[in-house]
Amino acid sequence: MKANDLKENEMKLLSRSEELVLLTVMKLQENAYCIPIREELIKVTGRKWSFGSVYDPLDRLEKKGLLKSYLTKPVKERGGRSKRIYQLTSLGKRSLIEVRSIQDALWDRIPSLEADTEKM
Amino acid sequence: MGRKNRFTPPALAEKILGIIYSDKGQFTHLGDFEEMFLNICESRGLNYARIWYWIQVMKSLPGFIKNKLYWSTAMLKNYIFIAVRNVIKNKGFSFINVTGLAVGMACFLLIMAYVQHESSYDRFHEKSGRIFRLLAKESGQDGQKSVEEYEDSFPEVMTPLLVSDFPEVKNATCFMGAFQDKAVLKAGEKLFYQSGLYADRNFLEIFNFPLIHGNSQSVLSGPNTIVITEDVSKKLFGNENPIGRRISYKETRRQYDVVVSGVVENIPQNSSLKFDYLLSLETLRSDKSNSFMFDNWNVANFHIFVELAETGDKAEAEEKLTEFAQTKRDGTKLALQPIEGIHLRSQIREELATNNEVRYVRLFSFIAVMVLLIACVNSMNLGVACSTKRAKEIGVRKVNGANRRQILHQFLGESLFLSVLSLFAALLLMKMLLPRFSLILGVELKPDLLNNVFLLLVMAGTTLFVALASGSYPAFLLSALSPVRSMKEHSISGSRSGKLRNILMVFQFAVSVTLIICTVVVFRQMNFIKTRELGFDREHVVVIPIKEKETLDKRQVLKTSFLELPQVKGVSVSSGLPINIRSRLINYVFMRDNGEKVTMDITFDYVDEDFVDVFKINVLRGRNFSKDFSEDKYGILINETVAKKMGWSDPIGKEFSFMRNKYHVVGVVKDFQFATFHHQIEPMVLFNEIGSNISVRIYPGDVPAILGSLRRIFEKTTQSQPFEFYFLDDAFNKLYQKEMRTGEIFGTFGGITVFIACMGLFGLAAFMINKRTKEIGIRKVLGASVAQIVTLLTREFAGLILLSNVIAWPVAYIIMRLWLQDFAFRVNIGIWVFILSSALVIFVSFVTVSVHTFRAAASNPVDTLRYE
Repeated sequence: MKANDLKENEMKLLSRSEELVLLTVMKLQENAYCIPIREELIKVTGRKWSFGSVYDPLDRLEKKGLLKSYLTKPVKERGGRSKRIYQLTSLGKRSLIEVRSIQDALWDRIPSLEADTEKM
Repeated sequence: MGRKNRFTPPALAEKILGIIYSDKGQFTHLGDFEEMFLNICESRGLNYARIWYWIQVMKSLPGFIKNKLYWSTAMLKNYIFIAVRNVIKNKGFSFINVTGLAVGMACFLLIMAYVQHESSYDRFHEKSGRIFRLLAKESGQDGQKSVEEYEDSFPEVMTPLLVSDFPEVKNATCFMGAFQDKAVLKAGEKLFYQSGLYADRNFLEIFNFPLIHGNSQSVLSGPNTIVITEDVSKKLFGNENPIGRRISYKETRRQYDVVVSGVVENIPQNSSLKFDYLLSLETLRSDKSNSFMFDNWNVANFHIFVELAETGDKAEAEEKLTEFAQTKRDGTKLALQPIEGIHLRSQIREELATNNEVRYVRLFSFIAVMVLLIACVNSMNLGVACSTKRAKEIGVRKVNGANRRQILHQFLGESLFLSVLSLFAALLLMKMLLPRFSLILGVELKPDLLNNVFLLLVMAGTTLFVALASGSYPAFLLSALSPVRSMKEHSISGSRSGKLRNILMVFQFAVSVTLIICTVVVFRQMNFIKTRELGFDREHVVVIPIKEKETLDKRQVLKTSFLELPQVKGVSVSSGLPINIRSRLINYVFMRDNGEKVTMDITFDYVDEDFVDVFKINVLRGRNFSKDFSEDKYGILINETVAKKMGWSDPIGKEFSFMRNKYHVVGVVKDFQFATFHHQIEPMVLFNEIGSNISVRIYPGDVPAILGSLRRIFEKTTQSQPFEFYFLDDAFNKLYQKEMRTGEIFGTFGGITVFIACMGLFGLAAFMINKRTKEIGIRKVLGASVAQIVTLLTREFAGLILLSNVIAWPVAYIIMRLWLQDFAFRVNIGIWVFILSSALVIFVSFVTVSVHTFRAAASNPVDTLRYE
């Protein structure tokens, strides 16, 4: 834990997929388990998301301590298996804010992207 | 609930997915997939969902496999390195280990190849599961007990009835063997003895003997047609197309000119129907002299095989057939015997081909398993012994984070490595041993290892089994060690492992001693049979069987010309030979002088007046047949047993009615052994008539020269039959082939087990004495003599080996009692057999151990004590 705290400031930035997954988890709240997360991602991005590409960032984020998870009661439709519901930790929230602020800062420096592309 | 069952993912796919996700979140992940599956079911249907599920599995597999491989190879290099280094470091142990295993595996594989061959008989017919042989069950009387006898002879007229009257029977074929077992086939100048069958047109439709030339539906339908095998075709016609060629066919009473209508592939070795040619049954039917055989319910000459309809039930068919048979003859029951059972499970009197007994096959397999087990035990013992030296390595591994499973895998992997090594050695050995094995087993084994799925599976299975059996104990033992203990102590003494080692060794030697005792008993019994008084002299008799009519007409000429040779002592022309007088009448009723009825089975045959002299049979009362008495045409010779059964004190001149004729007894011969020693001597009658076997008694001397003279005379007298002969004592020995084979099997395997067990003992002794090097040094310094130390070291093994003998004795005794029960005349097992066999094993094992004990005892204590 100590090592984690120390490194907190210089922790690696979130990758894009991690960012998207975190955001989706946050949006889905109590319903944040694999299937709705994946559906949401497909809906928003309009791209393919395989199961693996959702499991992977979820696993990684949990290991890094940005997400935590708990199991629900068994669900009949899932062949009597539980869901694993993810939640953001405070660290997760903070890293989202960090990414956001960096992006905002970057965007702010550019006058207008739309205008630029039109000129070209 | 039904709804739930319908909408579940494919079970197999789910299982695979479960394995893939076994290490992380298996439960929830599978749940996710199942939920998704349900969603897809609702939106796009069940089938689409199933396909989707499978695609998901397939997609996950490559990554999974890659991962697994990556992580498993990380330590693999180290394991292989250590395994190879260990093999090289303990060259002696490794050699003993691999040799033992290789010998065991080679034996096991060979026997498995044999078992496969034996159980593959008659399975090559496409419909083999539905082909049955028709059998008639008759109840007879054998002494006191009633016996059931099976026969497979039926009238020809029955065959078409079977198909038309019984809906269960789809097709039926009848056939019979030639009248003598071989006939002469002659094409142009070439003539050969061949054996074959008269078969009806359905024969080739029921059985699968593929035709190279000709059409299976028509080749046997016309008269005077013959189908020959590829080999016969090559012999008679070379490479020319034989279709339409003429062959003159001759046997003792018949001869036909026939045309070749078809050629079949050579008969596979695993067929109980064996023939060189098939003569169409129509040939026989169109010959007027055979009309008695056809449309006649009283002549039962034919074998009948039926093919049941797919819906036909065997038991039901048997019942109906029996019902039908009762109308023809009371008390006859008909049974259907599956063709696949003929080779191993048939018990009728005259078989189509020499068959085997399932118990012999079982016995051989059992012995093979024993040999393999002994080899495994060896390997296990050596493994435990060696691996105690490796306790430190395991300690280090454990301290560095290896868990129990990893160490288990390492050791099992090592023993797999050894067992694969042994497999290759075993294959080499197999190649070398194959000819000898084929000889012992009497089957030409040609296991095509690479194309034989069964053997490949057996090989893989054996390798895995050996790896597990020999590696599991050391692996479990060592992986359970606590790292502290294994690092601290010099070596684990493990009294537990010592106890197990002893039990295993006792087991090994018990099996070895048992096999050796069995070998000795079997050979003693065989020797007993060979040297036992038979009542006739089987040495120096050449038998020339006549197979063909023209030669049969000249048999008297042949007899007189043979007699002119100075080396010939006597010649008899008879139908029966003293070793196989087989014609039998069951339940024949006779009247004793006092009016009492006697029922007995009579064995009879036809012989000439020289029979008694040529075979040196004693005439006890009365006289032999003689040409000087014309009434001898209705004279008979009886054996002592007949006289006893009939209660005749003076049998000469007594009357005896037989087949509507009245005979009178002219002489009583001493009982001689006309059947095998499995049977008691039964009542026997000899009639005075010449037959088709010429038996020539020769003076001992230059046998090839005598045979040459016989051949010259034979070939000068007759040209229609090739000269063929056999020695009576060879034929006699053949009767006991099965028993001889058993003896040799016991002997070979007994030798092998002793060898393997001694290899193990050798290794074990080396190891155990090695461990006590220091102790021996100290003892010597304190004044122990070499003899004392040798005694000390030997004592440990001596007790175990003695114990295994004690176990082996009763086991061997019981097995041999059972085996000997088959013989009507048997040898006493005798205590000395046990003592001798045990002494042999004890001696061999002591020699083995003494190599080490003497070296250890004679070593200089300075060297041994410095050893560290």
